[in-house]
Amino acid sequence: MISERAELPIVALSVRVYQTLLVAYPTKFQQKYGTDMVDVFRSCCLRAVRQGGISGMLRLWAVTLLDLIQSVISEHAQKEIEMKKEMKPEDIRKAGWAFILGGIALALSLFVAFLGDSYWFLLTGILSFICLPLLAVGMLGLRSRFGDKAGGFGKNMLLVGAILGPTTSVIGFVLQGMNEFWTLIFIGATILFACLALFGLVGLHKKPLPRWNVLPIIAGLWLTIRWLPMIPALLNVDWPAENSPNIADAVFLTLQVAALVALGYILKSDVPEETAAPV
Amino acid sequence: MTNTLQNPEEFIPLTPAVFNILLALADGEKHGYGIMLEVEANTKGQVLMGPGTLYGSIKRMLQADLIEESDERVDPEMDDPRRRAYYRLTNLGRRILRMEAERLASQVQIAKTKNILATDFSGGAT
Repeated sequence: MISERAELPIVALSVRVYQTLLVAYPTKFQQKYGTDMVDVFRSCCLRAVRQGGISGMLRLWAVTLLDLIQSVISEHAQKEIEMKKEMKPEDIRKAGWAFILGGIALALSLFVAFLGDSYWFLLTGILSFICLPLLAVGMLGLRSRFGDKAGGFGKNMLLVGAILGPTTSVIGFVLQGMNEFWTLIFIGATILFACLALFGLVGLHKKPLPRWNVLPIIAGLWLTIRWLPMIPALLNVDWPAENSPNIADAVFLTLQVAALVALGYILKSDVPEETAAPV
Repeated sequence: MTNTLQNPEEFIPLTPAVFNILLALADGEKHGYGIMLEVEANTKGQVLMGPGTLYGSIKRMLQADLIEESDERVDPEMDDPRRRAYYRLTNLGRRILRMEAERLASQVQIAKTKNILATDFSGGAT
């Protein structure tokens, strides 16, 4: 019998290669079962060498690679199901409220900003620390509840916007003392709204929401259109006078806020029943 | 993690991997490699289960409360000093296995009444 201590080079090499291939599995699965899987594979290698020599090893590798591909796909699919289960109906309801509160916070910041002189500083501060994280939570809820119906692109847009938007913006706010970084505040917000608008664009075709599928694009489009062209200018100069807020801004931003609140209402009132994953 | 399914019938039909793992554990606890060997022997080599399918199934069966981990120890029959996790059937697992075996037996019975088995055993004549 070939013992572990007398492990052949071909077995040692195979085990090392298999160990490396395990990175393809989801991290949690790899951490929990990786060692056991390597032990089992080592035992299989020892038996294959003992019974069939090199050809036995080649046969084992053929079976193992096929098994690896199938099970990696299966585990990643399972991971996705578990992530959805983690977002419970109560969480989706909270995400709906986050959308509503984010929309209200945006409306308040705009209202105060129209009244005061320090328009952009105040607006960006509130956007960075209140609105964007709330809207990001809302987008994650939207992704969890309706993402599947919107397809891969729409789903990914919500994820990118929810993560990259607030992160970029908050980094910009923290670093605003350094001239070259303060524009990140606007860039982050623009990313979030642009991603929401892109999800909305897909939604017009795929209709993921139970009703009012035009809402996501309204909720994301105006600030994207308004701010996207300004970003290059922001990198070099102060706020351009011709881009100061006007009456069109007030109208379209009111529509945008209303759409955000309505999205939150749909999300919190259309909550799924809990389902169990198949064995 | 505990199972959220209330009705055992919702587990049926089992996947071949799950059925074979439950069957391998029916006569006592085993570690992963032991399960793999038993499945291979029970199916005369027709079901070759790799480590990925084996532990993926074990993970889901633990979550569904069909099996449980007993302990970790060295297998005295193997020339390997490593400690291995042993698994055993739960009451639910045994019940589900019996239900699936009964379902398969009734399928075989139908095949018998239609003379499928007799035809196959006689050399494939139609």
